[in-house]
Amino acid sequence: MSRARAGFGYTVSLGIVAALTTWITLFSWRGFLDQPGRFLAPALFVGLLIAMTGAVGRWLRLPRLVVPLPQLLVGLLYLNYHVAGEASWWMIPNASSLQLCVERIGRSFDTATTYAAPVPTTVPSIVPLLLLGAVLFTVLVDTIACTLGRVPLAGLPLLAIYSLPISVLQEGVPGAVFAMSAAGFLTLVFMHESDRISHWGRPLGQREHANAASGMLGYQRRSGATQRTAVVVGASATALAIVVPLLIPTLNLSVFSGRGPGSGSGDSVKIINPMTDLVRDLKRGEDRLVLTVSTEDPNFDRLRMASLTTFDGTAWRTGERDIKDDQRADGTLPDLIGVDPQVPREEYDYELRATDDLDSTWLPLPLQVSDVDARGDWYYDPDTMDFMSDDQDENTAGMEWSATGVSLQHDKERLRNAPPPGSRLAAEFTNLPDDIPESVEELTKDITRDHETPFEKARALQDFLRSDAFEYDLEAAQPGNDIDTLESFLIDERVGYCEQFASAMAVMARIAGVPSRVAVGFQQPNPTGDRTWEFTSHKMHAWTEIYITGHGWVVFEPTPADRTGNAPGYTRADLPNDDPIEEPSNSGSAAPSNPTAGPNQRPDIPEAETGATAAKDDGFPWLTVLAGIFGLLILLLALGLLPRVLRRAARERRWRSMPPAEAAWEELRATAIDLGLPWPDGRSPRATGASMTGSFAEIAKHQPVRPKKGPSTNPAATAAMYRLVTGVELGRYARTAPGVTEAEAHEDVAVCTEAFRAGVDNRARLRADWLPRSLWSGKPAVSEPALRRQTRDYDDVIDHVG
Amino acid sequence: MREGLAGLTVRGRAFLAAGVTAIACAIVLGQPSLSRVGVLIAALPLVTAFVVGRSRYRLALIRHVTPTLVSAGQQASVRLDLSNEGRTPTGMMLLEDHVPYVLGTRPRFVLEGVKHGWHRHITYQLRSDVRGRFDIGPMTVRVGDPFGLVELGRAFHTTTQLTVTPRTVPLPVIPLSGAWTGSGDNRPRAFAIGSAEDVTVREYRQGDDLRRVHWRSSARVGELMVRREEQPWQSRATLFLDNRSHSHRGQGVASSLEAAVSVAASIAVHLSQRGFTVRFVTANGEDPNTVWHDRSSSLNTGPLLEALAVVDSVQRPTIDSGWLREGNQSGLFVAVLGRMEQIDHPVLRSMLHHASSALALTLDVDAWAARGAGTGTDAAAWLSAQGWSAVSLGPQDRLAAAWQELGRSSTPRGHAATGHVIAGGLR
Repeated sequence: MSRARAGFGYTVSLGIVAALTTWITLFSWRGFLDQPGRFLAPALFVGLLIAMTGAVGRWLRLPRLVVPLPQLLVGLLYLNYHVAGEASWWMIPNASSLQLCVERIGRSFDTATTYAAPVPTTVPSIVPLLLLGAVLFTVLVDTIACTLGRVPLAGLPLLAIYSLPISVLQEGVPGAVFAMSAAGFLTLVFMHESDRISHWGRPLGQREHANAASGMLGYQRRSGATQRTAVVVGASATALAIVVPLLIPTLNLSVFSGRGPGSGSGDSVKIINPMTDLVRDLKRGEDRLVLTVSTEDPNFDRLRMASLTTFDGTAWRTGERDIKDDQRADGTLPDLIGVDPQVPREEYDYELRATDDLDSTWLPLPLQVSDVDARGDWYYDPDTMDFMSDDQDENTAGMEWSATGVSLQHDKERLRNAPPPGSRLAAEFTNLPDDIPESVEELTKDITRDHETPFEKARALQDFLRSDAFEYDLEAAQPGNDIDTLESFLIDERVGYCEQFASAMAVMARIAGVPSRVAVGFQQPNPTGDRTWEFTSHKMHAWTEIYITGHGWVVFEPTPADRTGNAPGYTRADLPNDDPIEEPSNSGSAAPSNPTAGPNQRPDIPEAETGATAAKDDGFPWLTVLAGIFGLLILLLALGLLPRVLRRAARERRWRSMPPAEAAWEELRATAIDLGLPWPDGRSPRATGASMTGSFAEIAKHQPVRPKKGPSTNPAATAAMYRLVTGVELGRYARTAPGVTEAEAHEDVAVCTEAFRAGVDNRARLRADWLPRSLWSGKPAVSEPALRRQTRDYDDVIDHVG
Repeated sequence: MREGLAGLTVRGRAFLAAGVTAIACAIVLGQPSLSRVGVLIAALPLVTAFVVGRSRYRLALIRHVTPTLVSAGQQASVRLDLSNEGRTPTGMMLLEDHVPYVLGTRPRFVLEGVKHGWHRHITYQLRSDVRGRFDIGPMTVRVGDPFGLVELGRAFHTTTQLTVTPRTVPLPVIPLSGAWTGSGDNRPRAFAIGSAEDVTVREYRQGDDLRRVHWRSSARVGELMVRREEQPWQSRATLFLDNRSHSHRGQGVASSLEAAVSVAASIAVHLSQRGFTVRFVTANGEDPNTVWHDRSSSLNTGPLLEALAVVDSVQRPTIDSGWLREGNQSGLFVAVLGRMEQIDHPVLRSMLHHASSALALTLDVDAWAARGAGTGTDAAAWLSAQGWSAVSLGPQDRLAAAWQELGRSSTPRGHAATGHVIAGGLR
């Protein structure tokens, strides 16, 4: 259309604005990584590069479908240069650089599926992946907006960019980014419309003289007034968009979320890794009260939230949990896992209460429980005895629950002599990825060489980690628990915090063939009074649990004493006559252990679930969306059918409550109104009938667009009309009305209705069926106001005859 | 606001629908960030509709067309005087003057941000190759917005007429008889005797001798009147055009009727220049604007050409002959004829009877229908036999040559027609 005439200036500026808009919208991806600048700066550059390429391509009048190809090529060349620049000859790729580029993109994809956002800088960067996305989106936006000239449609890819973090991070995009992208998009629409207008006609008005200057730019700049209107409209719409959503309630209907009560078994909740965010919460969070516990248990020391049972080389994960409906946390639980009934045990009651700051879908509970009563949809996993809610919105904030904890009195000798566990358990809990570094394996072998039983091996590992060789430092430690981090932690640096200690011990135990897992929870409560304890968010902790035959999962504490106090008594070799279970150490010694801990936003461990990893398994709630759409469709269908139903009800009410002739007359009137025919009110029935016969038409199979109308076209209907009129007249004026039977009246109305319908167009017929006017307006459609409207003089154009 | 909403464009409606959908999804799915997008998209058309619906403007338009009578192929210029009488500055307006498509593209103007008292002249040119009377206007105004979301339609009502007359060709001077016919209601009287009412006066025209001013009439009428002393005798001519549809072939500009109209126009102009007062008669009878009247021949061409500009084919089997019954002489009679039927012969004889001298140009209409030479020569032969001077004209023939031929064959009435002239023809 305007392509041939669009000047270079317009082409270039539209392309640049499109690229900038895309770039600004890409700001909403900032939350994906720790240093967004590393992605945004090259994204800007490549965006402008693509915009210029597209402008040149359009200026050269390349076919529209060809223009995106050089753009894509330029974008990918730059991507190659940026990602694998050292291997390529400047911008020109070669085989090795391409290979490297593909490899790095693949690795960043792995990172993205592994780590929760924001991805730390220490792991393989996800910048290549994001940059690839930026290139594709920029080309898409440029193609739609500039090359194809469908600017409003370009809003869709922009919306996709914008909504990606919403679905992945579950957190909104800052208002400033939204406002800026909105401004960019509106600028695009404005420029496109201005271009269209400038091709529409000769400009007149105030700024006519300014066109000489703007003509160089290739398109006519718009006058100040129009720009002002555009700014006012755009700004007020954007302001509304920022303010109004605060007032819109979001329902988040749990009906759609799949796992309601009785929704059947077999649904599995996939949970990724609560560990990943542990360090973030510890480092950043402000120390806030999250949990109060009251219990009689004298040895109360820690609460577990989740256990991480699988290690895939990049992180410890909770693995897949199979939850069934009968596994509700509302009473007695199965027997303790793997605990010999001969082990002496004592039961204590626990009352737990979480503050509003604890936003967790995992329920903190004592290590061994025999009974849990939590209100809401809480389920347990029988293999790990972890308690979790089934969706995001059921969390612990402000919740109260009770449990019966079981305190086991482990006998040290029996622990030491316990045989290795059965092969099934061993296979599951000693499973490790293939790429465990040899140095770690050798180290493990060195430590455990002299020990026979699983318990002794575990104790040796714990002693090794608690030795002076290791230093606890939350700040200096590298975050993460992937293989590389663990290797450097164990071999070189030996500085870390609970995450590294616990996962390192668990990995080493597995190397040594001992079933192990990592537990995440709270440790070292502050006593606040008589048998009440408090946990703050900084008490979050990770430790190792080792499976000992006959004793179940036994806690080991590899983290050094300056953070955790003493190790559990049964694991200490030097105090053979100590209590079977260590007294809880005084929290005073632990509190200063992480004095530099930063603010803690939410100790929401399962937030990791929503991390970048979510994209792999559970990225977008398709089921929810589909259910929502389906529900919406049903709602719309019901709404659409409502007028029909009401109309039918009105018809039946008429026939029921009025004499047949009057009912027929009323029904005929309503039908005429529905069809938009002019039913003259305030005339006698005969005059009305005579006038209405003018709207009759012959019923033909192939309806002409404008059928011939009049009484003569459909004599049967005309006769029926006069029968009805006579019936009404007799009913109204005759002393003794002979009466019309209802069947006759029905028949006549049907004939007249068909004749009416034959005389109007399809649209009016559809409207009469689906949106009958007679429901809300008793007045006929072509009433006086409508006529007046047709002839009304607009007083804003004045004619002077010249 | 309501008006603005009614004027939402497809884009505006789509934005509104998309926005509402997004808001609904955001509410159902619990995503407040999505509702932000929805509100933005839905608010845009609503705010625009509000702003556009609120704008008040009063545009005034005066249109001049000069000249209002142009010959086909000549240019006329239209001048528009636009002014804004509204109080607030206008938004964006798209003006389009509705000009018939045969006159060229419709002139379109974009008007934005005009203040109160704004005034502007715009001129554009019109040119038509087709005769006719055309309505220039009305101008439509579409009030738009910067994002193309709302469009309100308005229209001025007035139109101005432009008459495009048929093309004419200059004709050679040939001897024409039948001049100086003095019949009719304008027979001069001797004014020296009798009362002032008997004096025939006319309006003063530049160049009249002051001594001829008739002061008494001037005082009564209020403007200068002069006594008529010039020769009252007029050279009168009757121009007949057969515009019955079955007499002609072809469609539109290429039809034989158009050729006939063009021939008639050329003859009308030529006769007027020769000093004849021409009246124009079609198959429907006399044209009331071009009856013989007391005016000079040069003033006569305008109405004649105007009448010819709007001549259209008529559906009637016979030629109206009512104007022949007045008993007066028609003076010189020139007929432009198409296909002749047996039924027309009495009327033609009657015409010849009334004329002092009768010329006829018969169009070989079948040639226009691309069927080769047809009855045109036969008709000319019949007319010549009756006493007309007649030539036949084909689509390729030059009118000037045919007219010359007609002059050569023109003989006083009563002389025998010469068949060889016809045969010598124009081919």
